[in-house]
Amino acid sequence: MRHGWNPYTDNGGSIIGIAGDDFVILAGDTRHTSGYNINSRDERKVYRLGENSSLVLATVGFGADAKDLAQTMRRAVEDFKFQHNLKDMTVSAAAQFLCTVLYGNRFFPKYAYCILGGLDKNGKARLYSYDPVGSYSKEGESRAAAGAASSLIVPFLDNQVEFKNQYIPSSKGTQERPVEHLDRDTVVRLVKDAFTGATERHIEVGDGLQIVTVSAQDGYQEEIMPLKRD
Amino acid sequence: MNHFPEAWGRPRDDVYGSYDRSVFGHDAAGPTQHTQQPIVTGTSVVALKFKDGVVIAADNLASYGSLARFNDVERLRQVGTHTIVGASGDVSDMQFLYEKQLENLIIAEDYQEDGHGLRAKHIYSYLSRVMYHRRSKMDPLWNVLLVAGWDDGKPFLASADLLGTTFSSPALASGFGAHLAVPLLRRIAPDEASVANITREQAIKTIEECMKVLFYRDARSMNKYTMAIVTGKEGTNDEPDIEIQKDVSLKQQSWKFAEKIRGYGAQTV
Amino acid sequence: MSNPFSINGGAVVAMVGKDCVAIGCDLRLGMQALTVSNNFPKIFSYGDAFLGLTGLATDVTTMSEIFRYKVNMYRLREERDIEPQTMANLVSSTLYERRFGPYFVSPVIAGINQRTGEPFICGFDSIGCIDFAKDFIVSGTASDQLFGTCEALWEPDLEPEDLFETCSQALLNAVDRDALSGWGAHVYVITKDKIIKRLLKGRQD
Repeated sequence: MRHGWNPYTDNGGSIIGIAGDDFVILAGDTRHTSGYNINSRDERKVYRLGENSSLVLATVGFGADAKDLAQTMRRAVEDFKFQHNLKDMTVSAAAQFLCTVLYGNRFFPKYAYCILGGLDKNGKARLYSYDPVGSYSKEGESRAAAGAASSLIVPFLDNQVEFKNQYIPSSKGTQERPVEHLDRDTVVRLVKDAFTGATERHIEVGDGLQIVTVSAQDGYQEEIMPLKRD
Repeated sequence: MNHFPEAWGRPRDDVYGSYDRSVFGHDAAGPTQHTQQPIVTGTSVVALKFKDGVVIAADNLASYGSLARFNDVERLRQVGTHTIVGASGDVSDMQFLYEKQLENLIIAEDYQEDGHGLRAKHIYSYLSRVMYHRRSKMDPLWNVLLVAGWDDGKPFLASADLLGTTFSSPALASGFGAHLAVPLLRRIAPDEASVANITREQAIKTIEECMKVLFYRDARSMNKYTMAIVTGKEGTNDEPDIEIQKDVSLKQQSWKFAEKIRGYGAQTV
Repeated sequence: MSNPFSINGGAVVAMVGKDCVAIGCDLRLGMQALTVSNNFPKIFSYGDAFLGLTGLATDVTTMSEIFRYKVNMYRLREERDIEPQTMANLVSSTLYERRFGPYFVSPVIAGINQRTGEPFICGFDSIGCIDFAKDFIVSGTASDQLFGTCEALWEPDLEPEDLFETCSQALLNAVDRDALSGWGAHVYVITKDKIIKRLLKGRQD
């Protein structure tokens, strides 16, 4: 087939996911672009899967594929309840399912980078990130970033979540700073700082920030915060 | 020497020639070809939300390349009781959507006679899926659609295009309108919150202004257009009032502003 | 075998603090995926003006030698050291001379003006466009990563010790996410009366 027309485009934007001990935060900017055009200043990228479940999915890349994936996942989580005697789909099941969906389109990929978050049956936070053809790590991660400004955000998260390149001051560089779970306020601060930084230096990021928190105590909460609009 | 991983184990192009892709087995320009180019086209569609509804407009021109071929084309269509759809891009694809897909959709829904009808978000969801499905078959409907209407007790406005890309905003426009009209519309409606302060008259005036600017600056536009105003009752999903003004002519055209222009940016003298 | 700016790899960052500046570089020299040296510094000093250069390594070396010559001639004629602001224009002109056959470098200047005492940093593209920044300048194959870390970690009016920590963390964490940069770092902290150069170990991969 002669392909004169490209079935993909890049709609910009960035997403981030950070896991605490018993809460997970997924966030994404709300700017939707095509080239230098801003299509919308308020188009959300973080979706809740299922009405009462703890599952949250953030997708970024080619907007149509990203949204389609979210709708597929939403449907799958709802159907699961009907097919499994009202049992909720667990995070790990949803994580594997998303991998299968993505790889199922291996030869016409969904050009979307996904981050999936939720709480497992013990109320502990789980976070998974994917490439466009479904590569993910079964054990999950503590932090993930994707999208236009991922190269700006990821090293910052390495330093502030995993404490990379940080040592205990008195040890003269022999002891690394130990990694521990962060508290919620710290994580929210990191998310806001990551996005204000990305907004400054990347044209496709800005307008607004959608922050979704899922925690064992307070359930699902969403906060929208303005970002620079230039 | 190329040391990057993509080249590991691969025979060098300069020694063995580049990869022979004919082994994938294509018919060179076989009997079935899909991805096209638009032939007869419509230009911008513009739309703006206001306090009690949405205003949407599109001119009556269908161009055949640079020829202004048909000047009585209706590119806005009322779909059901709550929605107006505006299409830019290929006119034959627009006619397929309007006269086949949407027409049959409404017939099937009305046939139920169950007191329910399809509202704006349903029409939008349907159209978005059709557009995405066609792009995923590599056989797109070459259009950018604006769906305007009333749903969930408030104004509805969203866009769907040939790639299946969807987004929503209080001010939208397709084609040239995205570059020329959207900045003008966003001065009135920069965000969702400001919509509550926009009156119907303000919205109509702004849209009229945009259509004038587009006629000045878009070479494939016309000075006659259709404007539709959807006005609903806040908080209810009752049938909104849909007013369609056809054959609207641009008012107060004047190029006198050109005499005041100096330069194209920072120049002041 | 295409982009001359990413064959050898490398990273440079400069930051402004309270009456001080910092400039740092990684130490890697590579041939695409192959690492050839872990001791290829990219910062050169000319009196009190510091020049960092990333890009094609042969041009990094050539440019450092060209500016050593030009600054020496300046010193002979003017009988004084060159100020960073003046050096900036010297670098800009030198690069633009080769407008249609450029040196494949992305230079960075850092220094303190001897007369006024104010800290100065700037960056350039390969054909000499000067980027005067008040906060930081980034350069090299890890520039995206550096933008991210610098934007998040930098704040105005950092004291020299704090500026050193900030600059080092920004550099180290950025190059750790770039395959073509790393293998150690040099960070210079420059104040009116002294210059401290430190060698950072970092990840050796």
